[in-house]
Amino acid sequence: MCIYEDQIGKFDWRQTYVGRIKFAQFDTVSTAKKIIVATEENVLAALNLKTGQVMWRHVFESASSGDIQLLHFSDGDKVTTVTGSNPYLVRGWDPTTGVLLWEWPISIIDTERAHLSEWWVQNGMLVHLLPAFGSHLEVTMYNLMTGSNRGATSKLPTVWTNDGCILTPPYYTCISGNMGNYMLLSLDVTSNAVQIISKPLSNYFSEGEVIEGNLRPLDGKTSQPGFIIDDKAILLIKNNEFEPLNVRLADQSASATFIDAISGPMLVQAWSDENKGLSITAYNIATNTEITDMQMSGPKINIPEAELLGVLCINTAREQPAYRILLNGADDAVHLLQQGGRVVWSREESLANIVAAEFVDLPVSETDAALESEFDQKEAIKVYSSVWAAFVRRLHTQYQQLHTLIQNLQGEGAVLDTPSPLVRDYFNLHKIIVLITDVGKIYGMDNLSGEILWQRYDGNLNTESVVMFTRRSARHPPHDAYVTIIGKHEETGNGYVISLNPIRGTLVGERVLRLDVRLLQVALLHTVDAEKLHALILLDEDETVQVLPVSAAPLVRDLYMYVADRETGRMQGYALKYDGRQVIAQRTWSLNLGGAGARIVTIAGKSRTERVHSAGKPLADRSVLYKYSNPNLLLVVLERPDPTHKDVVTAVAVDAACGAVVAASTHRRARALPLAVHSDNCLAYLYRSDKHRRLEIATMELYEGNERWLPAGTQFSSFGCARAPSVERQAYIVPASLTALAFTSTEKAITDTHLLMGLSTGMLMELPWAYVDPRRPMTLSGEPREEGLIPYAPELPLPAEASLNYNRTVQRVRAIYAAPSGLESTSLVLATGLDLFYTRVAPSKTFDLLKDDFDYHLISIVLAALIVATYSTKYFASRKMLKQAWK
Amino acid sequence: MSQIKSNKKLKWSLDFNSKSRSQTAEIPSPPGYSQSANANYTESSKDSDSQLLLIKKLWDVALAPLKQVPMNMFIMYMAGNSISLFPIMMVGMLIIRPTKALFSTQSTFQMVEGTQAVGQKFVYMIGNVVNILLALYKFQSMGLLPTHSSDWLAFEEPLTRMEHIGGGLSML
Amino acid sequence: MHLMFIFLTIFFHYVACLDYDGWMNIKVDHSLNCASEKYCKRGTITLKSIRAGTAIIDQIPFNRKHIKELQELAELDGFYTIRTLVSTAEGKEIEFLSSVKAKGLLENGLSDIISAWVLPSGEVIAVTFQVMNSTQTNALNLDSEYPINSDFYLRHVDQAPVPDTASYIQKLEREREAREKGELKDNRSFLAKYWMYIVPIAVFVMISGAGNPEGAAQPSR
Repeated sequence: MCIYEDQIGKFDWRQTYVGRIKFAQFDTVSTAKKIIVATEENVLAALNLKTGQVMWRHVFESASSGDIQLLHFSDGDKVTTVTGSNPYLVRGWDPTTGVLLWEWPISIIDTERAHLSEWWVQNGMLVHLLPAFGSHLEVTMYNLMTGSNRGATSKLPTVWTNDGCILTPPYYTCISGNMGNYMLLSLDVTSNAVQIISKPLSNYFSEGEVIEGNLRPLDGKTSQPGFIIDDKAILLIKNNEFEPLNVRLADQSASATFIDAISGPMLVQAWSDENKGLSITAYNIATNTEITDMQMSGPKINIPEAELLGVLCINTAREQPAYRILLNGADDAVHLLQQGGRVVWSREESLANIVAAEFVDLPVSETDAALESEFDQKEAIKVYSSVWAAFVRRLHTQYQQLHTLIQNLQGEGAVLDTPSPLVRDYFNLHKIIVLITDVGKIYGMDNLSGEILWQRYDGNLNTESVVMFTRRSARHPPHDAYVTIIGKHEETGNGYVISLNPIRGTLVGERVLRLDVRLLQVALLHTVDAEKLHALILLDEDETVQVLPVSAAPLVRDLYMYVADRETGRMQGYALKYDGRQVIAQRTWSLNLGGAGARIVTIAGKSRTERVHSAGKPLADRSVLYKYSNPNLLLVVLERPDPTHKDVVTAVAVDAACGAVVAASTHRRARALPLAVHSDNCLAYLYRSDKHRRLEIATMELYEGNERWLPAGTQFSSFGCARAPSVERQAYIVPASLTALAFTSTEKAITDTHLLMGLSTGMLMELPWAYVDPRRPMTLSGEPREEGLIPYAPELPLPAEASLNYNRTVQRVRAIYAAPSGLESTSLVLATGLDLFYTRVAPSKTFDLLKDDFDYHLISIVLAALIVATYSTKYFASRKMLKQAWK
Repeated sequence: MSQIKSNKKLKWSLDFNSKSRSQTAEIPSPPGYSQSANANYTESSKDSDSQLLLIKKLWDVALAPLKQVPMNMFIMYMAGNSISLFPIMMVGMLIIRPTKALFSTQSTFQMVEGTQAVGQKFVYMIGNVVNILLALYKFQSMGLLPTHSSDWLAFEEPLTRMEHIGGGLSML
Repeated sequence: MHLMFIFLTIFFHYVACLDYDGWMNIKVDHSLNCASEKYCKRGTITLKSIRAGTAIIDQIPFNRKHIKELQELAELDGFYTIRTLVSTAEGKEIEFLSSVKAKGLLENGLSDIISAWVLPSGEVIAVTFQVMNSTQTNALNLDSEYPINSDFYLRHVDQAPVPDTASYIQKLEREREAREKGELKDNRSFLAKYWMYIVPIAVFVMISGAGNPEGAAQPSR
C-alpha cells in the first residue's frame, strides 16, 4: 500500500510506549531537561521533563539478556546501564542523543548465584557485589569506562548476611539475630577498612512495639543511604553511624525518598489510600519541620499503590523552589506532579502490554435513530398500522430535520463550545477500541485520534486468559452498548466478570461479579433476549453451567461448547440444553489430537461477525467450485516431539459441534509458531522447518466439488454431513520472521481477504491471499491462467511497498486486530506491541470511494462553464442564423 | 443576351430549335395512330404493372433480412470473441437492427395490399428472427449469456446455520 | 519375483505413509439399555494391520428395548453417545467420545459411518460416528432384532506438501535456456496479426466509397 507524503497521518497514527518504569533519573544539566528511564520491558528511554514525550529510545532484547540491572546517571556525566543476566554488558550512552559511547562485557563465573548480584556506580567505578548468604560478600570494582579492574575480588567475611539484606550504596545492611534479639548491621563494602556498624534494633523502637525485622530501601535515587525498618522507622547512615529520623513513615505502604533540597535535606513520602486518594508529605530534616508546600492530599488523583521514582528540586527565579515528583502506579502509569498536587503529565505505560482489543460501534445520533426506527419494518408494523399514520410520522421527522438545519445555520454565528458527542459517522469509520492490558487496566480509545476516552483499573483482574465479548452493540437505543470481560480473580483464581458500557466506561448490568468457582470456558449465546442482549454462558470446572442473566436460560438451544487442554492436546465438546429448570452441559465428544505428548500451540476459530459472501469460486470453464463453508470449523495446531523426526507439527481442522475431524496434515521436523488464521474456507498457519531452517506458511482450502452438497438456502447442520471435503494444500517459504498474523475482515465479505503480517523488524505487511492460495498452478497455461491464478513460486514476495506502516516501525509487534467498518472496501487495523499503530486497509483498493484528492472545485467549475458555454453558443448561433436568413 | 447572339447568324449555321417548337402542332399523326388508344393502354398496363412491381418490391423487402444473414455471419467472424469496443459495437448493431425492424414491420408494409401480404410479413419476421438468433449465438460465444452455474452464483441464498459454537483453550 | 517385490514396495508406498504398522483394536460402548454402568458394550472393531485398513466389525444387534430408548431420546432431540477405547500395538488405551443425534440414527435405519483418523506414527487421534444426511424417514419394522450397519473408514493424516523449490528452479532454468536458444513464437502471417486494424479501415473506405460515387453521380446529370 503506497501513500503520498501529504497523506501521512491522515488515516493512521502511531503511539510509542516504554513500559513500566523500573529506574528513573532526572537530567537537568543539559539544555533539554529530561528524565532518563529504564523499564521492565527492557527499554532505555529519555522523556521530556515538561511534556513527557519520548525523546529517544533504545529497545533491548525481550529475553533475559536484555534485562536492565542498573541505570546510573550522574550530573554532567554519561548514562550508564548494565544489561543482561550473566553475561552482562555495561554500556555508556550520551544523554542528549542516546548514542552508544562505550560498551564492555562482564561475565561471572558463579552462574547459580549470579542473579543475586547488586550493582552501583561510585566515583567513576562500577561496583559489583555478589553476596553469599551466611558467609561472605564478594566485591569487585571495575573502571566504569574501560572495564579494567584491579584483577582481584575482595571477599569480606560477613556471617550475618541473609536474604533479607538490602543494598543502600555503598552500605550493605542486614538484620540478623533471633526473634526479640535483633541486631542491625551495616558495612561499607567499598572502603578498605572493614568497619561494621552494629546496633541492636530495639534502640530505634519504643517499648512495646512489635519488631518484625523487615528492611526496605528508600525509593528513587537517594542522596544519602537510608532504609526503612518494619514500614515504620526511617534510618539514615551518616558518618558511619545510624541516624534515626524523628519522623516516622506516614503509612505502611508509603514510599519514601530523601533528597538534598535547597533548603536542606528533605524526606518526601508518598502513599495512596482508597478514601483519601494520593497523599504526599515532605519533611525538612535539618530544621525538623514539615514543608507545607509539598503537602497535598488529592482524592481526585487516582494512583493505585503509588511509588516514588524520583523527586526533583528546581531552582526558580522566585524565592520558593519548585519540586517535581515522579510517581509510578500499580497500573503502570507514570505521573509527574508539581508541588501542591497538580499533575503536569501522565503516561499510560500499561498500553505497552495489550492482551485483548475489540472495536465497538458508536451509537447513532438521535435523528438517525429516529429515521432508522421509522424504516425498521417490524417496529413500524407494530406501531403504525395505517399508511396515513406513517405519512404523518414522516412529515413530522422531516419537519424536525428542517428545524435542526435552520438552527444549525443560525447557530453558526455563535461559537459552539460543546464538544461533539460521540456519534457514528456516515461510513461507520469512527469506533471505540476497548483495550485490555496485562496489568488489569481497561481503556476505551478513540480510533481516529488515538486519545484515551476512559480508563478503568481493576487490580483483581488477572488477564492470563481473558476473553472479551460485545454483548450488545450501540444500535438499539435506549439500551446502552454492553461489553463483558471475563478473566480470573488475582488471588483465588475464580472467575471474575466485569461488564461495562464501552462508550462511556461506566459499569452496567452485572457490574463486577466475583464467581466462587473456576471457569473452564465461556460462550456467547447467539440469540438475543427481549432487551437485545446476548446472554453469557459460563462453564465451570465441574461442568455446571451458569447463564448471565439468569432469565435468559430458556433461550439456550443449539449451543455447543468445546474446551481444549493445552498441555495434553485433548479436546472435549459439550452440548448445552435447557431442560426446563436449568441449563445442562452434556459431554458429547472428545478427541486426543496430536497423539501422546502433544501440546496445543494455537486454536483459530472463525470470528463471530464473519459472513460468507459467495458459495464458490467460478472457474475458467464457467463452472463453479463450491466451497466447504462450515461455520463451526476450528483449526487446531499441535506440536509433539518425536523419536525419529525431531518434532512433528499436526494441523487439524475440527468441526466443534460434532467433534469430527474434517482435514488434517502433518509436517515432519518442524516446530509450530502460535500464529494461525482461519476465515471462510481458508486456513493458514506458520511453522519453522528445522530441516531447511526457514519459516514456512502452510495453507489449506476446503472444497465440496463441482456440485453443491446441500441446495441453496437450506440449513447447514454439522451433524448431517458425513462426507469429507476435498482439501487443497500447499506450503510457501516466508522470507522474514513473523510475530503476528491476522486476516482483514469486512462487513459483507465481498472484498478479498489479505493476510496482515507483523515482522520482527517492526514492519507490518499486507499480502494478498492469491499469493498463498494452494491452487496456484505450476505452469501457467490455459484454464488456470484465465482464472487469474498466479503461477507457483516457492517463496512469498514481500516487497517493501506492501508495508502498511512505511517508516513508522512498531517495536515488538505482538498482535494485529482487524475489524470491519461501514465501508465494504475498508478494514480497520490495529497493531499492538510495545507501540500502537492504527491504519485503514483497502484490500481491493477503495472501490466504493472517490479518490482522496478528488477535485470537487475544478470539476464543478468546468461543468458550470460548459453549461454556460452551451446555452450561450446556442443563443448566439440561433441569432446568427436568423440574421443570415434575412440577408 | 444569347438570343441576340444567335440572331446574328453566320451564313452556314442552321437553327433547329425554333422550327421544332412551331412544327409540333402542325404535323399530322401517322396513319393508324389514334391518340386515345395510347392513353388507355398505358393506364391499364400501369395498373397491373404497378401491382406486380409492388408485390415484387415487397417480396424484396421481405427477403432482405434473409439475404443479410451471410453478411452478418461474416461480420461476426471478423469481429472476434473478445470483449472490446469493436466487437461490442458490431454485435450491438447486429441485434438492434433486426429488433427495430421487427417493431417497424407495420410501417414497412403499410402500402401493401393483396393476398401475399401475410406471407410476406411472415417471411420478413422469420428473416429478422434468424438475424436475432445469429446475434444471440454471437453473445453466447462471447460468454455474455448466463447459461452456466457461475452466472447464477451471486443469487444463491446462503445457508443458514443450525448449530452455534463457543469455547476455546481451557481457562483453568 | 524381483518385479513382484518392487511392485509391492511401490504399492505400499502409495497406500499409506505410515512409519510403523501394527494392529488396532477398538472397543465400542454405548449408553443404551445399560443396567448399572454408564456405558455398556456395543461391539468391537479389529484391524490386523493399520496399513491394510481392512476391519472386522462385530456388533450386537439392537433389540426392542434399545430402539425404545433411542426413540425416547429422539423425542427429546437428544444424543446417542458412543465411547470407544482404542488400543494399538504401542500401548495404552485411549478413550474417545462421539455423539450423533438419536433422530438421525433412527431415520437412517441404524446405519452409521465410523471414521478413525491415524497419524503417520500409528497413533489414533479421533474416532467419530456420523450418520448420512438422509431425508427419508424409515419406519422401523417391529422385529425383535435390528442389526446395525456400520461402515468403517480408516483415514490417514497425510504429509503436507513442502515448498517445491527444486522443480521451480528447474523450470526457471528451462525457460532461460529456451529463451536463449529458441525464437519468439510470433511468426503468424502479417494479416493474422493486424487484421483487427485493416478490417475497420476497409469497411470505412467501402462505406465512404459507396456514398461518394452515388453522390458524385447525381449532381453530374
